[in-house]
Order: sequence, then structure tokens, then C-alpha cells
Amino acid sequence: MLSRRTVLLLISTLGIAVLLAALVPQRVTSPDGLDALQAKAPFLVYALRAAGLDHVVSTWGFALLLALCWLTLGLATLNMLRRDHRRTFRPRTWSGLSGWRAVDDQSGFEESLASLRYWAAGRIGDESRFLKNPWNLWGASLLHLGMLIALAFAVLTILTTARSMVVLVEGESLDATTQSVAQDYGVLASPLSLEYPLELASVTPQFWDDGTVRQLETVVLLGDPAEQEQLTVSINGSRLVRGMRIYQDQRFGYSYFLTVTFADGTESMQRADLSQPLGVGNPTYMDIPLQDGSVLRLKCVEDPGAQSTSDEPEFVLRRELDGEVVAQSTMETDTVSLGDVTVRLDGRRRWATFVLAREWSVIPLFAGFALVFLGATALYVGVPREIRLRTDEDGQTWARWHAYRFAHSVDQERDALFGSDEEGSS
Amino acid sequence: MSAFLLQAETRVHVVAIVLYALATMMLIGGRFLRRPGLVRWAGNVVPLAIGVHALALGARWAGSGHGPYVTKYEMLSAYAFVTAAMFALIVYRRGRLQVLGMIIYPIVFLMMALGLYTGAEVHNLPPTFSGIWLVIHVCFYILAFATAVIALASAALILRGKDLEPGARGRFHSMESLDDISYRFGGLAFAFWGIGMLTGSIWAYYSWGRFWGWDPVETWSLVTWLAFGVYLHVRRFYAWEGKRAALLLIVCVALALFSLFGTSILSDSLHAVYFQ
Ligand code: HEM
Repeated sequence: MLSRRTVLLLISTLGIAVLLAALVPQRVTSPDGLDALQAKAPFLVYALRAAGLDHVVSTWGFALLLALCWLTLGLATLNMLRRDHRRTFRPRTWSGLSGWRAVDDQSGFEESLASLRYWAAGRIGDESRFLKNPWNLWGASLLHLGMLIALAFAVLTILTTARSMVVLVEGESLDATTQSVAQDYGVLASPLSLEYPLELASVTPQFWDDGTVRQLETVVLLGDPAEQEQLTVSINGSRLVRGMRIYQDQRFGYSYFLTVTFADGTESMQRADLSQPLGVGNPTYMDIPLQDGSVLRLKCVEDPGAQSTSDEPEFVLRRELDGEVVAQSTMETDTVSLGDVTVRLDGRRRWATFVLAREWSVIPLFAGFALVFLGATALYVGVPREIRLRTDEDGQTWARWHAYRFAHSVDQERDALFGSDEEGSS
Repeated sequence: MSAFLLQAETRVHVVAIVLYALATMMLIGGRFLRRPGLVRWAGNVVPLAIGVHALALGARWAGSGHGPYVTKYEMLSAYAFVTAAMFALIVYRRGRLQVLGMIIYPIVFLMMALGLYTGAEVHNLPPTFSGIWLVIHVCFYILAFATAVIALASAALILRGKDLEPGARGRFHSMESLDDISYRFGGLAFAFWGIGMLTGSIWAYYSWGRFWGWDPVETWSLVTWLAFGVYLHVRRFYAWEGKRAALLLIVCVALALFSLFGTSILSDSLHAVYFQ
């Protein structure tokens, strides 16, 4: 199972699978790309779908490949760890090997070793050991151990995380009964339900001069009113609280609370969540179908005179019947008439979107990453090397130098210690 | 003040390009005309170019109010700067490697010129562009790029197939040591790329609530890392060296370049919002 060819085959297959996921538009990450391809080449998309190439990373084949990689990785890591432990702590003697060189001044030689930052690491049989960068020997083991841990916990995270996306208006409270906009949870998790109320207290956006969002900060209140905890959440400033992480999503805007009164006196209450218009020339829209068959088309737009995004965008209402405009008006007072329908603005508040997630395995996952960092860097940053000294029966001292990797990069040091000629070697 | 700094920055940027180009010409001229004096002069011009380049980046930073990691212009300049500075440090310790500069400095000034072509306007920092993980993420990709370029330069010289100076058997001129350099720097590029990718995933987790989303930039990044993994495995397992290994490394670096600069133009990438 652990032949070199198997290992290479596995990594290459993994690479090709990921490459396919990059080249073929994927159902989840690029639905529009897939639709566009479908319009151009329907048979190709049919074939891709049949082969599961429109969702490479969620196919059984990919899962099997990952499992195989994980198993071989585990076995290889075990072997590497055993080998590195032996090489570091219980090495064999080098007496049977060639390449020993005569050293005339042992104490001078040992001083040179100390100045080159070799450290004396005890004796093996009649040989004294001097090591430089010995921990770099462990690079491959740490790298593969890190990958092993990261892969295991990445899969566990996917299987056990429960997330839900919610939209809240200032003053609104969320509890276990509130519907979320979107929900997803792994096969080993149950849907996320709130164990305590979550209230959105305020939404404070900041804008750049060009109208784009600079930051969005919200204040949420957590828990029952008697023991409420106040938290500030912002984009890229999620908060972990009572086992749940609260993320500030980038979507936000205004909720308009409207009462529509029809000609026959009936009333209908509507809440319209419009996204924040970002700067002049970027209005946002929303349609509300009314019970009389007409459509209320709403627009939130920045005043053309505004320098940037302001706190007071205009709210424009238009009523259409069978595609024809019945009336249009900007909401400047509390009530506007749109033909035989009047619309009253009862209030306007900000809304924001949050992602709530309950997961426990990202810390070990990130610990796996840390091992990958350490291992990969140790492999190529320092050259692990070792020198042994022994004295024969005639009192002659011999030294042997060995670089475990990249010997050419440190041959200057070897030459400084032994001279570049081959004389005096045994 | 910031308008003045930004205006001055573009000019200083151009001066740095000219200095790198001058150093390249001196290096190439010195080698081919066998005028060691010119090569020595190139060694003096390079620190000047790096100093001027640092000045440009500093002015950009102060003028825009954020680090050079938002627009293509800033990224290209930052990548070029770290590559030149890292290589200069290596040459400082191992002077004979200066020959690699014949490949590295042209890459540096062409990237800077390309940056000018993509436009020097300042973009505002999107709200997710904050925090230590972003800084680590960006820094390690820059380091990965710089080490990959140094590995690429060694590989290109290996492909040239001759010892660098016929007759001269200087230690750092031998094919073996060039091969060691391309292996080691290829390995470092792999290490830094991995760190960049993984810290990016931590950043994504804190920004978007997911550590991996199979976004095109992430996917290509993983392909690149695996390709480097294959390169390092074949070197290790089958003792590949010389031209074969150099060719495979060049494929890996080409993938890295595409991941860094090609994928951000793919419209449905989350990252595309940023690297406009
Ligand atoms: C599929 C499972 C894998 C197995 C069984 C495996 C096995 C091995 C083995 C046995 C070594 C030699 C280590 C030594 O003797 O010190 C090695 C080296 C290495 N592996 Fe893997 N590996 C796997 C996956 C990967 C992956 C996915 C990567 C990263 C993309 C990777 C990166 C490396 C690196 C960088 C080295 C060091 C190469 C060198 O010596 O320069 N491996 N691997």
C-alpha cells in the first residue's frame, strides 16, 4: 500500500480531481457558469453531470480518494515518526561507514564546532555526537502529521457544524421559533436552534467616500432580559459566545414598515427589506405583489446631490398593473397615494444579516495547520547535520560529517572544518 | 498630503523600475562582455533600486492608508519588492549567486511595469480586509512568490545546461549547487504557499464563517500546492534532479503565477471583488 508509486498516484489523482473542480463550473460555487455552459454545450454538461464532474468534491469517488490518502498518510507518518525518533534519540554508530577524516587538534576542532553552533549530544558507543538543526530532521513527519490531523478535523467540522443565516431588524428578537433564511448542518449535527433569545439592538454602517462599505457594526443582546449580555459584532469581527459563533454578514439595509389601504378600505401590512444603496447610481429594488393584482415596486436610492452613501436614502414607490405604471411617488410625507391605493409608512429601521454557527472542531483543525507550517518550514529552512568524533587505539581522532539533506548548500562549512581536499580520509 | 504622496509614489515607482532595468543591463553586459567591473556596479545599483522601491511602497502605504495588498498595482509592486530584497540578501551572503539576477531583476521590473499598466488608482479597503490572519496570509503568499522566482531562476539556468562560466568551477556555479538551490527554494515556496493558504483559510473562517469554500482562487491554490507536493515527492522518491526536475518546477511556478494573478479575473471568485 505504501509503495512510492501508490503515494505519487494518490497525490496526483487528488491534484487532478481538484484541477477538474477548478476547470468545470461547479454546481454549488458556480451555478451561473454551469448554466452558461449548458446553454452553449448541453451534451457536454449532460456528460459532466453524469460523471459527477459538476460537483467533484462532493462525489463518493472524491470521498474515497480522501479516505485512501488519509490511510496511507497515517501509515507513512507513523513510519516517519519512528524513524525520526530513532535518528534523533537512538542512532546507530557510524563506525562501519567510510568518510572519516583525521583531526589533529581535537579541542580546537570541538571549539570550531561550538562556534558553528553545533551542540554536543552525548555519545553513541565510542563516538561523540555533535548536532546542528536536529529538529529539522522532523520536518516531513510534522508536515504529514499536520495534514493527517487537518484532514481529519476538516471532515469532522463539515460533518458536525450546524449553521443558520438570519435577518434581524433593529429591535427584533430571535428565539428558537424564528425561521432562518438558510440552514445547513452536517450529517452528524442537528439543526441549530437558539437556547436563548438574541436581539438586534443597533446597526451602524460606515462608508468610504466612494460609497462602498467601510465597516458594519452591530450591537446584539443575548439572553433573557434579566441577564442580557451585550455584544458588538462587525464584519471580520465575529464573536464566540455560549458555544455559538455569531458572524456579521455583509448584507444590510432598511426595513420599511408599510400599511397599504385599498379602495374598499381593506388594509394590508407589509415589511419591505431593501438592501442599502451604495452610493449614487446604485439603487436597490424590491417588488411586493398586492392582493388587487397590482405590484408595488419599491426603490431605495441615494439622492443625486449626496456626496457618498448617506443615512437618508430616498424611498420611491411605484404601482404597476399588468406592466403599466399606475402611479409613482417619492415618500416625503408619511402617506402617499398611488392611484386608488394609499401607502402609509409606519416606520423605518435598519436590518442586518447574521450567520450563526455551532462547531467545535476548528481549533484542532487549526492546530493541524500549525504542524503543517512547522513541518514544511523545517524541511527546507535549515539543513540538519551531524558530526561524530572517535579516537582509535593509536590516540588518533577521527571525524565524520553528514548532512541529512541539501549537502551542497553547506559544503562551505564542511570545507571550513575539514578542508576541501580529500586527503586524510578513511 | 495623501494626494501628494500618491502622486510622488508613481514617479518614485518609475525611478525604481529604471534602476532595476539598469542593474539588469549591467549584469548581462558585464557577463557577456566579460567586464567584471560592470557586474560589481550592478551590485551597487541594486540596493539603490531596492531603497527607492521601498520609498515608493512607503509613500503608497502612507498615502492610501493601507498596506500594498488591495489592487493589482500594489500586489505586483509588493511581490516584486520582496523578491528583489530577498534575492539581494541571498547575494549578500553568497555573492556568486548574483548571476541569477539576470533572470530575477527583469521579472521584478516587468512586474512593476505591468502594475503601472493595470492602473495605479487607490481602492478603498473592503471591510473584510483586516486582522492579523490577513496580514500573515498576504505575507506568506508574497514570500512563496519570491522563493518560487528564485527557484525558477535556478531551474532556468539548469535548463541552459552548461556550467555558468565555462572553465570556472566556483562552488556556486556548479549544476549540483544550482539544483540544490532550485530544490530548496522550490520546497520553501511549497512551505510558504501552504502557510499562506492555511492562514487564508483561518481568515476566511473569521470573515465569512467558513474555512474553505472551493472558490476558484482557493481551488487553484490547492492545485498549485499539490503540484509542488508532487514535485517534491518525485525529487525525494526517485531522486529526480537536473533538467527533468527543473522542467517540473517550472510547471509548478507557472501554476503558482496563474493562481496568484490569473484566477482573480475569474468573475465568480469571492476574491475577485478585492483584486480589481
Ligand atoms: C497521500 C499520502 C501521502 C503519503 C503516504 C506521503 C508519504 C511521504 C513520504 C514517505 C515521504 C518521505 C519522507 C521522508 O523520508 O522524510 C514524503 C515526503 C514529502 N511529502 Fe508526502 N505523502 C503524502 C501526501 C503528501 C501531500 C498531500 C503533500 C503536500 C502537498 C506531501 C508533501 C511532502 C513533502 C513536501 C515531502 C518532503 C519531500 C522532500 O524530501 O523534499 N505529501 N511523503
